[in-house]
Amino acid sequence: MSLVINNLHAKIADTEILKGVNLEIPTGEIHAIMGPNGSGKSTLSKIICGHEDYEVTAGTITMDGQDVLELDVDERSRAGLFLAFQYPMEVPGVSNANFLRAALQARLPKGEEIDAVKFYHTMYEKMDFLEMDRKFTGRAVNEGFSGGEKKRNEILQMMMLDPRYCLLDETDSGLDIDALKVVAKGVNSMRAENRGFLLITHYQRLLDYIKPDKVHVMADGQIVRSGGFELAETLEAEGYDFLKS
Amino acid sequence: MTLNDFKAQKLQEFDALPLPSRSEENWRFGNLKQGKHETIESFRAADTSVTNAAFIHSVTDLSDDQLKRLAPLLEKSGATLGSPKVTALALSNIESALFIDIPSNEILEEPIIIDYSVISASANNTLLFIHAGACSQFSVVEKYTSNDNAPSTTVGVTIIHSEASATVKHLAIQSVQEESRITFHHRVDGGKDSNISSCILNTGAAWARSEASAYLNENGAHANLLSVSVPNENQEYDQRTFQSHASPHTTSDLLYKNSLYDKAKTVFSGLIFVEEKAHFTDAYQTCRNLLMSDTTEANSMPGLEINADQVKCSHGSTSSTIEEEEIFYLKARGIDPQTAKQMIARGFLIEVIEKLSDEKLETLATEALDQKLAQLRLG
Repeated sequence: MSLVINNLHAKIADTEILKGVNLEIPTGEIHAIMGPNGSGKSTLSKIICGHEDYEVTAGTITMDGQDVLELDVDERSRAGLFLAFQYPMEVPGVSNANFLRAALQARLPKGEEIDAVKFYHTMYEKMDFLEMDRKFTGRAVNEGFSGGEKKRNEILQMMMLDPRYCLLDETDSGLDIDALKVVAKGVNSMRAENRGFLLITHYQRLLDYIKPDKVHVMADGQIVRSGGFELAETLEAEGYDFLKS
Repeated sequence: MTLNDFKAQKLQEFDALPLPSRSEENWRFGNLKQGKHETIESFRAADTSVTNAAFIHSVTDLSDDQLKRLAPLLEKSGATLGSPKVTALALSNIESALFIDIPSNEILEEPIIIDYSVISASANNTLLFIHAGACSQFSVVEKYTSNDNAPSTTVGVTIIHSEASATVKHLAIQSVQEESRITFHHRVDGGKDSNISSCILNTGAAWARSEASAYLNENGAHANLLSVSVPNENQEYDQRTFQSHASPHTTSDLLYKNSLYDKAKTVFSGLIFVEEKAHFTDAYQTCRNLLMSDTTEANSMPGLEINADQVKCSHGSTSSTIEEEEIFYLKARGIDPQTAKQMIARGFLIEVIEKLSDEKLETLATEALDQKLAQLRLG
């Protein structure tokens, strides 16, 4: 069981951003992608989720054998993909609780309704775990949230939706050390044999708290190096210049 | 003035006043064909039932004291935002009017709910006068529905007058049959340090025009003018507002939101007017339109006229579509695009309803909103 990206090429308008990405994330593993600004890391995560701005020109993405590129954005999510956004959107007038409920409801067969009591119980349990104030359930999604609160909220959504493959796009950016630890706690609690993770990050800092099984380096739209945690340490010590050596 | 005198006066006004015309600012972008009401010769009262009726009376059944309290409301009952002629005719049916008379210091936990069933193939009036005694707190809901599935005409008049420090919340829910027309004339007069909210929720009718005014003539008076509209198909909603500040330290806040579908059309025209002596006025006016299809038409004409120094006033209007990135975020959580758009539009409108800050009223308004949203098909 794995998320497989094979020779993926993609462009936005006339600019080619991904130039043949190959990557396999088996369930049970955490992979990290590092790379300089503009290397295509965030684009890769958006394309996996189906963002309409990008056009896939070649290659395949499969999830446990299923062709992902055939699915719409919402179908990909329901099939088990999750993207924690770098910049989560604010949704005025839609409470966090109603938002999560709608997302869970979308996963049920027609005619079946969510058990409200169980839903709140689960949500509160996970919010407590993420040290989120329960008043956030009634507040509009991400509206007026601090950077750290937004990222915690992404992790809450991830925990509630229980995806098979989790993509985290620079979840560590803008986080202070306490918030980073909470986010890492959330991710680590979800580590499981039947779940895979892809962490996109600039810095090794996140990887000190979430130990990856594999580290990949992306540059100019391709994966240029892959290795273990030591690759992240080398990058941190030497910067991206070492890629040129 | 007796009720009979009032009736005679209104009939006279009706005869004397001209029909609305294109040259009037109040009819800019408006649908004159609907607004002229040319064929109407008389009104009948809509069928009415009341919940929580302890303080509500027929005007023909008032004590001398109550008549005294009603008098200033009658005096101020004429329409000023474009429909004085037809409103005068509706008001001439004064014997059908209701008077809510809340004593000083009275606090009502439950809202007074008035259900109007407008009768098809006729011209209906609803006439409601509300006197809020000093320090009283209460809410009033007016619900407009049709008695059957055929068109009707309605003119609804609601005049609210508050004494000092009263808190009044008023909600009108309009969901009449979809070929009908309805005109609202709402006026609030805020006493010293009073706080009056008046919200109108439009989902029904082919053509609905609301003329809403807040007069803040006493120090410290505050008014919230709110509106939520969800027109679809060929529905047309025409909104005219007036916020008048005549005393220092008065505040008003207007928030109108329209979510337009199909070939729906809205007109918003509002004026904040601050008199010379009304220093330290805070007045805001915002109209926001959410265009849910590319064949809708939203016209906004916000306005300010400030004659005092030291005031804080702002006005603004926006028309926009839902951002693709916002839809993407919801879709990325597994929510299908149709549901995502509805959730965003609902959230956009709910923000107005929440300003009522009254759980019971919010529930009633949200139910009416959800009923309309459930009927919409999205392209």
